[in-house]
Amino acid sequence: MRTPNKSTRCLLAFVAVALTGCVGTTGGEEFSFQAFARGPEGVSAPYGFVNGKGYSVSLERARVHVGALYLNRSVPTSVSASTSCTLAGIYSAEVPGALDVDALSDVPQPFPITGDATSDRARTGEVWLTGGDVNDPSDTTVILDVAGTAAREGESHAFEGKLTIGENRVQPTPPAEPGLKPICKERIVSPIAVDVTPARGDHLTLAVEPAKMFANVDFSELTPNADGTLEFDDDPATATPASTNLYIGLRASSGVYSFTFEP
Amino acid sequence: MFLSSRLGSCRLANLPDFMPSAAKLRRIIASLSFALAATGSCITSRAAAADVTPPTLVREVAPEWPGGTSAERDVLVPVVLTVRADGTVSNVAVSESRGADFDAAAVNAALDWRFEPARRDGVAVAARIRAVVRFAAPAAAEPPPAALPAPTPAPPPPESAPKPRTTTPAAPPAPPPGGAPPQTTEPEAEVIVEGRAATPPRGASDYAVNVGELARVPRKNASELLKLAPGVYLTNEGGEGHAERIYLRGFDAREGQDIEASVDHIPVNESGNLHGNGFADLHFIIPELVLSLRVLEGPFDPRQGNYAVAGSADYETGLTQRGVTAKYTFGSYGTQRALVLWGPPGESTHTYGGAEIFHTDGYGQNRDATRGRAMAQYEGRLGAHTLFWLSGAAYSDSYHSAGLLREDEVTSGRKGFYDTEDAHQGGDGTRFQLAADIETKAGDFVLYQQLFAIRRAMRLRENFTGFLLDGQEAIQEPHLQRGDLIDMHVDESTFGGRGWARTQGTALGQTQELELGYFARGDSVDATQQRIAAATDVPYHTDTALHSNLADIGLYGDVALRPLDWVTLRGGARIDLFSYDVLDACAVQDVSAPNPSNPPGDVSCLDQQRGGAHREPNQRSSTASTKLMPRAALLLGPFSHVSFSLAWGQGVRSIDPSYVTQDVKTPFASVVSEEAGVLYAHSFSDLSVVARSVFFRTHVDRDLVFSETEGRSVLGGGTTRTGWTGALRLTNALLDENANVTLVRSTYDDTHLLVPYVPDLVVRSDTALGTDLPLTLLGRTPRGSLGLGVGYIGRRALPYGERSDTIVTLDGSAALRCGPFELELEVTNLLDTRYKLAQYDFPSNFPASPGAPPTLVPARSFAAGAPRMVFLTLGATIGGS
Repeated sequence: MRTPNKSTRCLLAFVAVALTGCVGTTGGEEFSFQAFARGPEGVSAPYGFVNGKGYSVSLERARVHVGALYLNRSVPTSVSASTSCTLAGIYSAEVPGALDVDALSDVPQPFPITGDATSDRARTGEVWLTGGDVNDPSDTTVILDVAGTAAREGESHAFEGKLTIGENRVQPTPPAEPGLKPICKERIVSPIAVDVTPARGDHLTLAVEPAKMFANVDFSELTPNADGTLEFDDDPATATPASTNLYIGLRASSGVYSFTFEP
Repeated sequence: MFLSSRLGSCRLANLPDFMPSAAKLRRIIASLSFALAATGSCITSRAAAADVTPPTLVREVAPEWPGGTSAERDVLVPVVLTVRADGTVSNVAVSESRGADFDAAAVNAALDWRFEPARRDGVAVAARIRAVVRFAAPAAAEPPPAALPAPTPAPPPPESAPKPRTTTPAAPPAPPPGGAPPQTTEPEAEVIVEGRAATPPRGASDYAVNVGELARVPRKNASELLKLAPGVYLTNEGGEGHAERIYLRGFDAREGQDIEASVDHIPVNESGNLHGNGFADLHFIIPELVLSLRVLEGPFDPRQGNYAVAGSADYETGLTQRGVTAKYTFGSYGTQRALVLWGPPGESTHTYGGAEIFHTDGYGQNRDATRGRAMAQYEGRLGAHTLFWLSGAAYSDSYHSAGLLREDEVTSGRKGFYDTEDAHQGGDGTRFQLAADIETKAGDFVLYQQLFAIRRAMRLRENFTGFLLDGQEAIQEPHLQRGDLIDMHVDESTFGGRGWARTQGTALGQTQELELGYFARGDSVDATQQRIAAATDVPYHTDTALHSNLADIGLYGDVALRPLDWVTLRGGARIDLFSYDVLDACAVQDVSAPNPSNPPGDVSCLDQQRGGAHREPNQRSSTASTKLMPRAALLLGPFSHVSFSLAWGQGVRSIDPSYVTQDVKTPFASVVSEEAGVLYAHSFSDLSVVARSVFFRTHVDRDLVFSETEGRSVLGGGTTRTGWTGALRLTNALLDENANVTLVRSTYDDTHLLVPYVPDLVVRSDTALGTDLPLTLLGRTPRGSLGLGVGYIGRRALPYGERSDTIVTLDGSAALRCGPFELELEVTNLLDTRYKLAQYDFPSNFPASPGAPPTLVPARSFAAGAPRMVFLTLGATIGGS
């Protein structure tokens, strides 16, 4: 076997150094992904369930307007001292596009744009319930549109409701802290506990469980309109507890929204 | 350096043939050796012999007889000329006139001579020597009688006659034609090295780069001269007037924070600059006034001080072209440049003046720039043993910047490749400096002293993140995102000095050297950073407001021990004291329980503390620390033109004043660097070859990491670099080639992942060709020159496992010089490659439509490299050689 001569050895050494210099990684990945939203597994309209107040609810319409989805690497906390709309941690996935989600269909409904992600493990999810600028109180986009019937003790009532998050949800603040409760905090459902690690080729699915929104709704507290249909009030100033509880359910950070990242 | 450096005291064997008789030389050498003994400037007998060689003539060009006719006997014109470090000749002055025609012809001939340059410590240096231009008679076998030549031109020599011969012997000159017989003079064998003292080399990574003909390679500014050293890559996302971001041998040295930069030893780094502690803006340097630069890629020299983490770069300024030179450049994108350079004939190349006015509309959006700059220096002598320099520089610029552009916006068609995200970006800057240096021999010592004063102001507006960082605070009125445009301003005054005393003696039969020196600077810095609302241009928040008084006082000792004539151990130690007195005028920006009436609205700098109790909004912090940095280099050889070196050293980067805490010892960033190199240097007839190979390793305990939210780099963890560098310089009368390759692997110590943004493969070639053209133009022989710069940057590691694009750039020039006139065509980015000069990966949000959901996940952003640009320069020189 021939022994490489000196120049060959030098060349090999150079190539070895070159290779070691040009390989390696800073860690992680960046990629785009498809995003979908759907209702609970196996659900279709009408969707029947019994809520926490003993009502047998038959949901015939449940549409949620999702403005954007975000996943963050930080561990969720139930209370945040910050009034910033976004978390301080690093975001690992986002779908900055809007979709009207039919929560009574288990068919994945694609978001109109692809999302972007890094391969970092996400621990907090955010659902942005906004029709425009998350900081602009004047937006009047209907965020939740529901209709159905609710029955208890032999009494059945049709109901419907359209909830918005705009000027109507701006909360009073102490004079020293006028920015304590920005409208974005009303619109962003967070922190939603997740534990997903985005991977190239996977897709993100947001599952919306509308039944959980009605968990504490006592339909008897609603006022019927002219044709007798119970109506959720969109004005917190005049809203009955039932309307408030539906709004709370819409913004619940546990039980209503869940994320999966799957192939 | 130079000292009264009659470096004829240098090695006898290397004296050129045209030098005078050996007997006279010995007398001169003996006297010089005695007079200059034991100085560190290569002026002792042994040191001189070991360290300095005078220039040697490698190409002679015969002078043309005035009128094309020759006399019956030789005519000798004594001249004094400067042999540049690249071997070319400039600044030819006739010592004794032989008539205007002979003088002019002699000067023209001498300018075409080529030398192997003088070398001091193995480094080529400019030298001023005496010589004689001989107009040889057709048959000069017999010395002619001392009589006047024919008053009228003699008939031209027959075709068969021997061609005029140029020599420079010490022969009596002939009397001038038509004039009285001159006093017979004999050229002296003196070599006067110009400029400040050279610094002894520290091994294979100590690059003393003479610009020379490589100035023909198109460069935007003096920063780009750094590319002549291996492993340098420059980016700039901040605009024409923004300092270049420097990557050096695996370091992301930011805008100089990890490179100690100086010009003629005057520091450039700005301590306390909010954009980066050690920010170094080299744009005040007129590139045409750079003779050479010394780049030391590691902290191996005790003279290196603060910021010498990746290394140091010292520019030597001067002007070889004598007379007044005026140049006007115009070209692509409305670029215009007017330049005037002035080099008094007969003075040193280090005596010069220069001024420039520049404007460009800039390519793409928001890249216009206007600047003016002036530099001047006078090199003078005080007696036989003292040189001094007085220098000044003034600089002012105003520019806009395109900043970074998100790649996805270009891909989607929302933005063009050369567009901007925020047209408010840009900056302004001024720099004014004065300095005085003196170098003298006193007894057995050579002493050097420099004082400098610098005034610097800088404003910078940058927006990396768009509309992400304007979080709603409880004490603020509810607001939408107002924009993340940073408006940074730094106002700095720097005063200081440096000096050293160098001596040497003989022990173990070898020359041993010792140098003791100091460095001191004080900085008074006002620095503020505010956020500007995009809609109104009104500042809405103050991030930082610091007033800092900083001091850096360093002492060092450096020895060169030679136990054997082929072994040199250079090294020593340096200790620096860094002190900080920092007044934070905006110390309180958040309180957990604000008072209902205080703060009022959106005030940034609060005057209350927890619970609403009053306090002043400012707070002062002071601290000080010292750092000891040993450094050493072992030099072996040369053996058959090959030298080996081992080098090791520690360096330091002082802390940003914004991190200073009362009485907490300053947490320096410390670097330890080691390397092994081999250097080959040899001259084959008229071809000079210098080749190097260096393996290196460097560790930094606190590296800087780019923060897009801060708009600058912030302290991060430890990093390590290992790599190899190869460099080659070929020089002869026709060609000047400077090429280098650097491979490096930079990793974080904790994760062993790659450090992002740092290029791991850098290849660079600068080529200059120059020759007299075989034609006559305006009665003269024109000289043509070509310059070509080729750069290759491998795919740089980006965050999240990404890699940047490969970058290949070609820049070229062609120049024609005929007599006093010059015409130069420069084309940058010859192939018109659309490339991304800088690429980053971080979250930013520039919404496609108002109110669109923000983009919060890291995404690729880039700064576009310049497209092909063409510039034409017209130049003329009057009153000089």
